[in-house]
Amino acid sequence: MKVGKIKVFNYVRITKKFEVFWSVLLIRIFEGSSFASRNTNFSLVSNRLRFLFLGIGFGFLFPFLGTLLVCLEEGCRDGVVSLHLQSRLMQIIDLAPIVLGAFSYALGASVDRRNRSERLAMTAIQEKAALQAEASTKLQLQNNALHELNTTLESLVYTASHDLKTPVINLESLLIMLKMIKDQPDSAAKVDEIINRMIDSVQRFRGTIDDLLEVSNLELQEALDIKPISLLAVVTEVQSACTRLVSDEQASIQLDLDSDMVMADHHSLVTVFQNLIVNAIQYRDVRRNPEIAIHSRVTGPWMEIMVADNGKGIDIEKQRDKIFKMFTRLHSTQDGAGIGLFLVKRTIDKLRGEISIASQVGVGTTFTIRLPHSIA
Amino acid sequence: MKLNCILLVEDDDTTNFYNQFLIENLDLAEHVAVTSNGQEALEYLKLAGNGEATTPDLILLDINMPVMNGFEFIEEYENLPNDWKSKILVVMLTTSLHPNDVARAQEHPSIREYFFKPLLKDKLGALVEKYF
Repeated sequence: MKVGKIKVFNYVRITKKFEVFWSVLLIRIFEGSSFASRNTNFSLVSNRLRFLFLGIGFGFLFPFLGTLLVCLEEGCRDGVVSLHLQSRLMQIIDLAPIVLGAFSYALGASVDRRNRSERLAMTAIQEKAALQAEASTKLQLQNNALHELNTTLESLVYTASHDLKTPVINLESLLIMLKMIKDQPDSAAKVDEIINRMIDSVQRFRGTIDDLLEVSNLELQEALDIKPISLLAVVTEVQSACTRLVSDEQASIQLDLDSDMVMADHHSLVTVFQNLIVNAIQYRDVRRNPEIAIHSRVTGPWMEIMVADNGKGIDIEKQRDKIFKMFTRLHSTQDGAGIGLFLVKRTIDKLRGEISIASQVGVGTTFTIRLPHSIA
Repeated sequence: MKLNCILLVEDDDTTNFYNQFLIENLDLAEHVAVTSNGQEALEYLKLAGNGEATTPDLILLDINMPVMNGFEFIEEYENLPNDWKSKILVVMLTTSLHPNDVARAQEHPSIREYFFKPLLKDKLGALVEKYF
């Protein structure tokens, strides 16, 4: 029993060794000569076939060489065919092509399977990577948007605190002054001025709060009510709201408007034109009466609206970065919170339009607004 | 000690009104020159450099101003000829508590002090005592 076991064990070990040797040999030969292809779809079917043919071909070497050896040693008196029919050994050797062919086929099939699973794994990895890349791009975009919002909020808090603090500090200063001079003789005129300035400061404080509320309303408004509206109706409404200011400042407004409709939100557009017209009058050139010309024309898919004034103008080169920035004032001569053009720009952005500015100091400023033109 | 001239660089009218009052009240300077932004202050200093205006001993500089703010001014100021500014003391006077502004002011050696508004009588007196 013991002996038999050892023999069986040895047999298994030898076949295993042979199997390993043969697979290593074949795979080395094929892969070394790029015979076993991994990369083309073609190889999925044909590795096993190529291994099969090579196995059969290699197998034929044994009967061929065997026959050759026997013939050379003993001579082929009865011919090659009878040699094979007579010799048991030759018949066993003749089986070599079939055995090696079958073995190689099985080996080729396993190479194909390996390639196939590798390819599937590869595809899965690629798909996963593509998904990850997509998710990461999305995340990046969201991150950018959040970052932008954060920067806006930070500058909002900073500038708001500055603009709210200024009138409060002014009130504090004026109170200190009052305290210092209240017992002085002949201080009545001074006290009067101090009180007037205190009133101004309080009004400025209230104005800044109103502006902040306006900005936050605009920012919180999810979507504007964008539909075809009449530009003429908007401008007429603004014009009548500004009648008092226009007549006080002896200003004039000329209109040359296309009758077509624009895609916009009526209330938002009123805010835009109100700001532009009030600005044009407030930042007038003192040497002449304010003249404002508003005209529009259709260019392709856009309605282009130009608001031109003859005011003091802005030095575009120097102020480029500040023009549409919140709480940034371009002129120091007039009071203002520095919020008008910021609101205008944000509103036009929300209406999916564009705004640009051209200006010359001492000559005037022209704002060009482009809004989607309604086809209806 | 009475200074010859103090230059205020400040766009807010009431702040200027108060600072001027304080300087007069303490009898700190012969002249007070008022400019409403960095650009105007720079032009004033150029005039003073050419002997057409009184060179200030002290500049009280705001940060947040239209046209040219306090930091833009100080960058230009540092490029001015040394003999124009050798006797000038620059003090930042602002409402800003923003750490960026404080750090930025510290980067400029020509900004010697950083004061918060409102300027108080005692502080202004002490400043003049310390430097003049």
